[in-house]
Amino acid sequence: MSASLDNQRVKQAIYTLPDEQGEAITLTYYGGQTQREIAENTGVPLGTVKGRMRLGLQKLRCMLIDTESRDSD
Amino acid sequence: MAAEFALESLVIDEGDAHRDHLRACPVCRGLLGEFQAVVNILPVALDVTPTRSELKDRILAEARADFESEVTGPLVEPLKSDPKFGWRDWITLRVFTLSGAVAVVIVALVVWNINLQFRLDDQKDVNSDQAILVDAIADASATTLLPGTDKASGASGSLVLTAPEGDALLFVRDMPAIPPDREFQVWSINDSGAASVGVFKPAPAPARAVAFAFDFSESDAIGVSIEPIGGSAAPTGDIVMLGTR
Repeated sequence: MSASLDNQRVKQAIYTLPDEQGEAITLTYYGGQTQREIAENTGVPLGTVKGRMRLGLQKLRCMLIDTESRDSD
Repeated sequence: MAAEFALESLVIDEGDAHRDHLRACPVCRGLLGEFQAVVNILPVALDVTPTRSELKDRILAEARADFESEVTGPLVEPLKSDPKFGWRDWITLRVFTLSGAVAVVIVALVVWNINLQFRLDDQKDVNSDQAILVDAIADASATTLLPGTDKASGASGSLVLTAPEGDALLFVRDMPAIPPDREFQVWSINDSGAASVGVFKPAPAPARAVAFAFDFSESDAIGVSIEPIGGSAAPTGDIVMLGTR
């Protein structure tokens, strides 16, 4: 993780995610909920929650890591 | 499932199962690496909160510190000892303290014993007097009943000789009220006249006992009259009690 990844940039990346993906990642990582708990609390199928997590992480990777790599190049 | 595993959103069984899968699946391991790299960035979004591992370490450290302070803290305030006051001094102090306590107990016992002795002697005297009195009362010849006269019909009394040489006790009850400048005088009466036995003042209590020292061997009768303070040579006032022997 680069030192150039500051607080505001990571926040902005998370806010940029679609709401349902940002919600899944936020509830999981910052809220400490399991994927099953998120599915139950939000009324969304478990498979859908899994997909939102995966897509959210992929987008964050693109926004943060891949961009950083290009910037460093 | 690599994304959920990286986010630690799997329950234990799911996580263990995926961990087993990762050992045999290089594709998933690569995918997990990519996701893990993103997850490692997520703490940066927090303003002041440390990462999970840092938070865990801090909580454990605080819990450990609390535990150690509770366990190793002083349970009792330690005594402030004088470095010049050694164990020999403690022994000496205890010996002196013990000796002092024993001395106090001995003195208290002696005082208590003396007090008991005095009380016992007093009680012996009382018992002796009571025994004499009981014997005298039991002996009818030693007791003279003194009924009240018409001047004091409610009064009554008895004279009890308590010793052959003449000591006597006069018991009176419900004596009449008399002026302050008067008192009662006891008389020994026979054919030759009346001889003064002694005087006594009225008492607030309805009954009282008065002791006299007089030889009643020549007495034919005993009387009590009201006389001026100090008594008279011969009866001058009202006779309030009179009894023959």
